[in-house]
Parts: sequence; C-alpha cells; structure tokens
Amino acid sequence: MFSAQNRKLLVLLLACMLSVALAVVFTLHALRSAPHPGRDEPIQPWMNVPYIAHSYHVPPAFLCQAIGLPAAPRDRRPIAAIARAQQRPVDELIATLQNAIMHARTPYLPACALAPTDTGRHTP
Amino acid sequence: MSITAYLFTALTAYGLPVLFGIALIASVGLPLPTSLFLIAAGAFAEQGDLNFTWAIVLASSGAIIGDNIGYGIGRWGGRALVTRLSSVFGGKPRLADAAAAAQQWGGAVIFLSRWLLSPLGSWVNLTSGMTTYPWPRFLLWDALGEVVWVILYVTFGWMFSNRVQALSAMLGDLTWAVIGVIATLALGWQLIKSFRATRSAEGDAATTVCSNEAVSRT
Repeated sequence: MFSAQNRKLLVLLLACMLSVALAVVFTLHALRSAPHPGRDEPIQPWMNVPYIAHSYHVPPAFLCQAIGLPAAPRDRRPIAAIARAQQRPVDELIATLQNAIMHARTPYLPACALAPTDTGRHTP
Repeated sequence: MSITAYLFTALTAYGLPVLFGIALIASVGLPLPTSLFLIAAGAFAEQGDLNFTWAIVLASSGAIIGDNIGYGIGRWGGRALVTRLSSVFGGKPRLADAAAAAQQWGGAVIFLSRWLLSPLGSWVNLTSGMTTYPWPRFLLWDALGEVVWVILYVTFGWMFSNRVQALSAMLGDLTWAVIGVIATLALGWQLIKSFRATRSAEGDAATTVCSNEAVSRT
C-alpha cells in the first residue's frame, strides 16, 4: 500500500507530531506549576520548622511553640526527626503545624489560643 | 518514607556532605530528583542553614566525579560490550559513524546535557565513554556544564526560597518542554529532507517514463 519512502515519511510525521505534543503538554504543565504567591507549598516530612515558617510567612517562634519546641536556639531538624523524637506520627505533627499556620494568619488571629512570641503579622 | 524523603531528611540534618553524595550518585545514573535538592540547598542557604559557596563547590564536584564514573563505565564496560555485539550482528560501520558524530557534536551535547537537557546527562556520559570521546575534552565540557547547572539551580533556590517544590516542578517540566522542542526541530528537519528526496525521486521516475514513451513512439 505504502512505498518504503512514504512509510518513512509517515513515521517521521507521527514522531514529529508526538514531539510537538510533548513540548506543548510540558509547557502548559510548567505554566501551571510555576511558583504562585497565593499557592502554599504542602508541608513535607523533610522540611524543617524555619523553612516552613519562611514558606508560609509566619513567625518561626509561633510554629515552634505550637509543636512544643523552644523558640531558641534555631531547631534545624526536619519535622520527621522531630516527630520521631516526640514519639508521635509525622502526619499528626504536620496537622498541628497547619493548624498553627491557619491561626497565625491575620483573619484567624483573634481565635488563636497561642500567645504571640515574635514580631510577626499576628502582633497587633 | 521514599528514598527522596530519606535523602531530604539527611540533607536537612547533615547538610553539605549529603548534597555532595546525592549529586555524585545521581550523576552516575541513579534516578534522583537532584534539581529539587539543589533548589532546596539554595533555599536553606538563603536562611543561613547552608553555605551558598560551599553548596555550589560540593554539588559541582560531586556531579563531575559522578559523570566521570559514568564515562568510565561506558568506556571500559559498555564499549567492550557494544564492540562484541556489533561484531556478532555486523554493526561495526554504525559504531564508527556514532564515534564520528560524537567527535563532531560531542562537546555541545555534553555541555547542554548537564543543565538544559539534564535528563539525558547519564546517557550522554555512557555514550561518550562508549564512543571513546577524548576524556580531557569530556572533562572540560562536563565541568563547564555542571557548574552552570549547579549555579543556576542553587541561585533559583536562593531567589525563590519559599517555593522550592513549585519551582522544581516548573523547571522539570520546562526541561522536558525544551527536549520536545529540540526533538521537533530535528525530526522536522529530517521530515523536510525526506519529503524533498521523495519528490525528486518521483520527478526522476516520471521523467524516465516520459522519455521512454517518446523513444518508443519515434
């Protein structure tokens, strides 16, 4: 049905279309996953408290207090190691941090039971 | 916990030696998200947990050593295997062609596969060794490319230190998009060449038929 030359052309055309699709899909995906000011990074077990505080723009001391750590000296351990040391599941620790972050952010401030300990947005 | 999570935990806990080890292992060919580790190292450096300069020096050194191990494996392991297979299956001329192409384009391919087309890096190490690309030239292009890669990613991590995961995902996607664009250009060029060759072959065939008919009429 197809000569060898035409078969080669067809294969090349299909491969070309596939690579165009690859380029388009990954470009769109890149645009979607680009760092966005309004999008928070999900908390991962490898993150440490100062990084989480930095990422979520909340005072580190506030998060330390929420998970029962002293605000100073700066604790650089990943939260997986903190969870191990405190003998509690890392998911539970992440949930506690998320709750603290939620209350550290301005609209939730009055409901927060945690006392402000740092110069952050929660301080009136 | 995944291996990536374990390594991240180690990076947060022990710092730069872990970054060196990750860069080395990943450059040999183990599929690790090294770009994410480099970006995270930049973010940790921004917060004062790691030293920025040492992060660049150690990550580059690890990556260069790993690449050269990959080159060595290709040269002294892969080359022997491919030579044996090509003598059995009769692919020796193709092997010579591949070596000639590596001599011509090798430098650019090695340099770009360190940072712009980083998913191809480990394969380029192996094929450079297999095609006996000169080692001093490999080392030069490799070192240049790795330093560019490490400086770029650690600096991005420093600049976007609160968006490590999103930045890593975006850069990973962009790398594949660039690979897609380069593949499209290369395949498109081949397609145009083949199309022209087919058209000229058909034209020649038509001319031959016409002249044969004219001869038979006279």
